[in-house]
Amino acid sequence: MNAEEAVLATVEAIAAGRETSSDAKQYVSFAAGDEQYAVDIISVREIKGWTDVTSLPNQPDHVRGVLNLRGAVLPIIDLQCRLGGGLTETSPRHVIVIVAVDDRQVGLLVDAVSDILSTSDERIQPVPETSGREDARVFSGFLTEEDQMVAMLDLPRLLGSEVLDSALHEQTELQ
Amino acid sequence: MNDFEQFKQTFFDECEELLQQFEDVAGTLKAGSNDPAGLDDMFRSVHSIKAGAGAFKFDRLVKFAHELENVMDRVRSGRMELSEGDPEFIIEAGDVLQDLVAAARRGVEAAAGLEDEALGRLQAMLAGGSVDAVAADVENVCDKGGAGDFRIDFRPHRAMYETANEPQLLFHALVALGELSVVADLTKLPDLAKMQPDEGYVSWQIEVRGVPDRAAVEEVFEFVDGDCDLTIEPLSSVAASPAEVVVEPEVEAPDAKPVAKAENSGPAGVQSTSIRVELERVDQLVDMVGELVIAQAMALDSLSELVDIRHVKQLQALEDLTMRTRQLQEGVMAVRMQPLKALFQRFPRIVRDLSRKLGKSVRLELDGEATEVDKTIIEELSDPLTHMIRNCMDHGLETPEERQAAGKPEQGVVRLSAEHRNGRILIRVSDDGRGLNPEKVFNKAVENGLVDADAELNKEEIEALIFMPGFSTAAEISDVSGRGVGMDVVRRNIQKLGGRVTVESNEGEGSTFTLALPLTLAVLDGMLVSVAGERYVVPLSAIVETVCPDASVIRALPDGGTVMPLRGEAIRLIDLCQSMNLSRHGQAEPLRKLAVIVETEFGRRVGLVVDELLGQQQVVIKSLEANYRRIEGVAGTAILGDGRVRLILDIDGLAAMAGRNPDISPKGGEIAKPEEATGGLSA
Amino acid sequence: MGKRVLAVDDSKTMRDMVSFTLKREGFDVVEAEDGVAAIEKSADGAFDLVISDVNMPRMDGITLVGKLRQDPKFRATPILILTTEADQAKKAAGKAAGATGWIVKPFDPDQLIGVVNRVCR
Repeated sequence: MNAEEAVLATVEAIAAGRETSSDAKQYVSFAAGDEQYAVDIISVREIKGWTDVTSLPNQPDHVRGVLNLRGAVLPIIDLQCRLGGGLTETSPRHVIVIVAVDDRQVGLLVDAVSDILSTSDERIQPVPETSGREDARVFSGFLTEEDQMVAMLDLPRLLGSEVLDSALHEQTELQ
Repeated sequence: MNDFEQFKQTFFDECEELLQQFEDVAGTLKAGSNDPAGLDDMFRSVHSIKAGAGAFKFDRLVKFAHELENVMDRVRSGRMELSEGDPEFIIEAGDVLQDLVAAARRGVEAAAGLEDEALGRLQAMLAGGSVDAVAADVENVCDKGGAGDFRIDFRPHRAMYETANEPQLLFHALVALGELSVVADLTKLPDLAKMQPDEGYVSWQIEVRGVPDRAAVEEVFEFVDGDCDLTIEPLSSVAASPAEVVVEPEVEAPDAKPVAKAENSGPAGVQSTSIRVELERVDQLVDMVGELVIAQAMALDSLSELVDIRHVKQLQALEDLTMRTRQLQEGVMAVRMQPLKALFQRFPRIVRDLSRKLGKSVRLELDGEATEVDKTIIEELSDPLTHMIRNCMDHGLETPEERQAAGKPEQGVVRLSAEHRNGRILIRVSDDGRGLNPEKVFNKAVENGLVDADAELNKEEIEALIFMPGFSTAAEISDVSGRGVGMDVVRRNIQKLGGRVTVESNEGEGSTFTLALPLTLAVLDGMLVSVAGERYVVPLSAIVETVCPDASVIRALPDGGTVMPLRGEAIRLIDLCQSMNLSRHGQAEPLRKLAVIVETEFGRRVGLVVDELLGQQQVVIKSLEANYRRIEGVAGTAILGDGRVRLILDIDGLAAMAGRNPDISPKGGEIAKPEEATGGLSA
Repeated sequence: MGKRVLAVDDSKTMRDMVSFTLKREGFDVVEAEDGVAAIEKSADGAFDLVISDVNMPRMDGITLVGKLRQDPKFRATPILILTTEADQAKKAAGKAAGATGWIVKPFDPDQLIGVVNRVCR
């Protein structure tokens, strides 16, 4: 799925989600490296093709830089790199999934958007205590789809250290 | 009343202004006679607070405001004169009023008995003030009457029509009360030719049945009482229930000359007309103009390629557009600008309260209150400034005995001043107290693990230690300046505004804290520079000049930095490529680099080494922190004409990074946090 | 089109509340922050009702009532003054100047509507 198709699919899925009142929740899944990840469709604001970003000095490698999205400046996080893989070799085919977390917007750089998954909460399995992956805390659960494990991203935890943590601190000070 | 919750915010905002107005004049009051216009303002302030408070049922506030209003009304109308000690008391009463408003605002009950003392004194002033005060308003003795059927004779006078009262509407109101029958008496009606349209010729006999009580009927005729012949009698022969006598506690005496006074205030018109606008709307406008500036820059960018000498007209039109866009932007920004006065004037009260609490005599000097700053900045300054002033009074100033022993006047001085400089605003908080003892500060920093005991720091570096997180410890948090907040938080808050705070101190002579802040948070004139293929914006206000130093004049420093001479001064060079951690990716270094000489907030000059200057541009500042976090050396971001984001360089941050003494290790500051594996949200 | 009301008060809180209450009842409300501003607004056209505070800078409510009454457009327009508690003196002064009636603060929406219905066609 390229970016445009993904946008259309997302819009349709959101529309469909409004009509069906079942317990099924919808997730946008995407590929980064060899893995599949998904986020709740509610938190997805926009999907756009990769464009050059403005890099930020002295930041962790996975913070690729910032982007202008209709007047707002958003950080772009390289998901593969954030989860311990190498830097993504970007091309115009790569996709940025813009998500909202606690009033903040962040772009996730991924290889491609895969699908819109519709599933109920019961089908999502908890993260095994001994998953072996040290980054397991950033997942809220796993979903098995056609023999493939899709890791559900816990966005506040995934983005906490860069995006949310500092903001929370500063707000509580000088009260 | 829930519908009116939405107006509470307006009410409290308004209270702030009204309290300020009250306080402003209160500070000028003296025993004897006072400026009538000022007294009117005070009276109206309290009156408006009371009226609003009544609507929201802030009963204690209403009660207190009521008494204070009565006193102010007497004073302004000359029925009461302020005697010795009264002006001070009025200021205190204003403080109590402010506390009651503050409690209401926070939605909490004010401390029990908070207002009792002042209330008692106000009441005493009213009781003893003048003779007419004790005359109770006998007109308010009224007969509540009973339920039932009534007969009403109603003969309007001409005066009733002159106040636009309509018999018809009164009948409608009566219908709402009960069953109504009306008979018009037209016997007094003259010939049509002689008829005066305004005259009351008609009278009515009205019967209304099943009315809840007589008072309801009287209420209908409330406004026309006196402008008509009116009798209301029970229809039944059964007497109404025994009359209840109610005396209104109102002791306010009639205003002697309301009309005359109003006439006086007519031509003065000193008050400038103003409107209140939601800040949000202004912000939207600012944002929109910001986008316009970007769009205009983009248009200019793309058109400049096409335009040649044949298109002089188009060129001029474009220039015109550029100029007007700029004017529009300035105009919109000006809407957000406010004098610091409103902020500064909170401090006399804080200082007064605190000097009492600390047992120190303190004089507060204010300067530069008219300096205008963006409203957002003003709001954000309140807490840091309050903290700094408390800090000066608590820690900076000595006790009167200590001052005497040191040969200083007993009364300490705290000075708060503001001025515009280089497109920024400088605010200084200084005291003539004991100053910082470098040795003590250093030892404490060592004790708290902020620096190594064998570190070699100069005076400036030592003084800067007080802004380090973890410098102030719980042990010395006093009830005055403590509150668990250290100077590090002050610094962080100022930094959040794109500002900086420094301290300069001389032991035994006092300390001066200087805040340097941008005038506005929205736009900036910048110089676009490039280095290693990246582009950055340097605030134009910081740039002194640009030089092209010969490699041979550049000297290395022991700490790895470099300096170049400039008219006898050694200028530290900051290699942007290095500071921004850029790699040249095979891009050749330019043969001769440029050094953009910039001045830090505190007059120190450094040279930013760049490859190229790309030209001036006005940029719209976008916060990096809105969606990310602060980065050292970066003041913010800007969106340029091509739609791309560029970083605005923070000169002082860069200078600090380059000149950082490696001995100082900030704890958990904003400098590159160690990457916690998952960095979860602890909440 | 709803009836036009001119609401005059130097307190924005009061103006907002009066405005809100009347708009909810279908009135068109024009606001003015004192007597002088009210006079300016009154030049633009007639109103079906005027509600004015008494204590205001530049021109107070009583003076405003007197001036409006002299304007032929406002001869038959109901004018209410907002006054506190049982301030008989203000009521009398207001009436002498030509006020139709009064509304007693603290502000109470039901009272406001009740009084407005009593004086306004």
